[in-house]
Amino acid sequence: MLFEKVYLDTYEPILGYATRRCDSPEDAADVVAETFEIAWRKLDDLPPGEQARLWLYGVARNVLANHRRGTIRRHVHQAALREDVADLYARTAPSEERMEFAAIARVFRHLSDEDRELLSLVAWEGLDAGQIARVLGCSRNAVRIRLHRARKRFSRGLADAGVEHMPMSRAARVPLGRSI
Amino acid sequence: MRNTDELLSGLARVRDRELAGRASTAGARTLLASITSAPVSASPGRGEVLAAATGTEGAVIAPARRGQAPALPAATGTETAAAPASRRPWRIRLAAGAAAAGLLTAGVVAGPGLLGGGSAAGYANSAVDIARDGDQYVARIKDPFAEYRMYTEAFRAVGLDIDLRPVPVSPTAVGKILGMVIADHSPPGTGPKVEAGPSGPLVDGVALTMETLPKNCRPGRDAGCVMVLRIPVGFPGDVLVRLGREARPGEEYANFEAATAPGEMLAGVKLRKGRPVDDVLAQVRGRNLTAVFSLVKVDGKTGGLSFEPLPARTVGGDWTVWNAWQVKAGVVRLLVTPERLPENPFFNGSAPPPALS
Repeated sequence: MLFEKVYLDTYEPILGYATRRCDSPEDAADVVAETFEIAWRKLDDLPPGEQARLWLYGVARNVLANHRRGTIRRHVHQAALREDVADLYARTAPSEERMEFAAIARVFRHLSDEDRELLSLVAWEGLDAGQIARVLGCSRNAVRIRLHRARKRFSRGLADAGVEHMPMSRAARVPLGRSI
Repeated sequence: MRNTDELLSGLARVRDRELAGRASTAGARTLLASITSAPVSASPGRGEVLAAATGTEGAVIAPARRGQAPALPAATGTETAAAPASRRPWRIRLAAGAAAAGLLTAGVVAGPGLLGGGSAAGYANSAVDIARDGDQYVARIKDPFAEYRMYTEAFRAVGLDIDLRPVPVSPTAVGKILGMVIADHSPPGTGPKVEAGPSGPLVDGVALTMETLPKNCRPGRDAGCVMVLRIPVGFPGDVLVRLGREARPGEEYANFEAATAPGEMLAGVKLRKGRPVDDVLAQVRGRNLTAVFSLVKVDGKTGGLSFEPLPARTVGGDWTVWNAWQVKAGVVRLLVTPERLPENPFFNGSAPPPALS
């Protein structure tokens, strides 16, 4: 059945999406469960193939936004899911190596939600402007412009914090018509 | 020196490639099972709107999207409300009655000479017999509660994607077919033409139907009762048939909308015009039931409904109950608003389908 295939194909990226954005395993499990429950209810909106993942990111993003507003449903009965996710958090607890990222993390946290989400979709989910446009439901051009501005703000923050970096990735420069 | 993306990627708690295999953990499997055993119901705000039907036996056939959807007969009691046109694949839901109406007796077996290219003549195992009859495959389901893979393998053998799924229900609905969901996943513009037929949808002129023989018997419950599905040969979509099975203790009911139907927990309680919470709670207590609550929210633009669980202590006795669902044995969910609305949002034609099951 279609749904099962989509679920198996997209569970890992959606779990990754939620885990990277939620502070607690319980929240991440709720976001994953709610996202797929919505997908099941909206089965005929679910696009086929690769588009399904992008569509589900969009759903997960809304679920997460609701979650931040405190309106998510708790999926306490999903005990096995919660255990799986908790294991993931335990396994990837901040290590010494991660400490070097503390300054970057601080700068990142000070960005707006929108800037953070755009930058994350590129850096964490590996999406390009066209794919992000599908997730956010806007035009590719709008994504490019917003991404460019988000990168600038992030760069400025990093510079202020004394973090050495290149202003933006090659991938972002080319579509904006700049040379490397 | 690293660019911003590289710096950021170091902030990720986990990377997708580290998650390989997670889709098969117990948690992932359990979540999938619990989601797919839930009823497929229209969700608020999606544009898909099914008119209110009355009772679980009513026929519900509705297009997923206006503008794309097949024209279906008004006789089914179903109508569409305003919804944005879209190029989404169509989708039809129907309850047992609609599919069963006016069918001929099934069971004619086609000879191999009539077969088209690539399709098998039929398939049989202990749970199901599938035989070809002209443009249709006729599947006779002998044991509706057989192992899931028995049906899957049989339908696959003839190239069909049919999912026969037992779902937990209240005692009165055990053995009842809760409904069929038919979906075509072909790319827009390439799928078959679907229109209404006398006994079910016609897919490129060939009927897709479901019935029980003898008529209105309950598969798995009444002796000699056989479920018969007729599916057009080469049907490109999938069909989900939901069949009621006895719920295990504490298991949630798939026929949740049936709370006020005869024989159910709130049988006879009339909520059409809304009733005060205190009033309904008296009924709930009198029947030794427990009530939980959800707030009904009506989308100002689309009229779509959404529901938010509410702790009982926050619900006032003078609030209005507009509908009730049965959650599981002994527990009902009351759908409430603090203010009295001008009309019952579940009955104004724009609500999600109350009678999918």
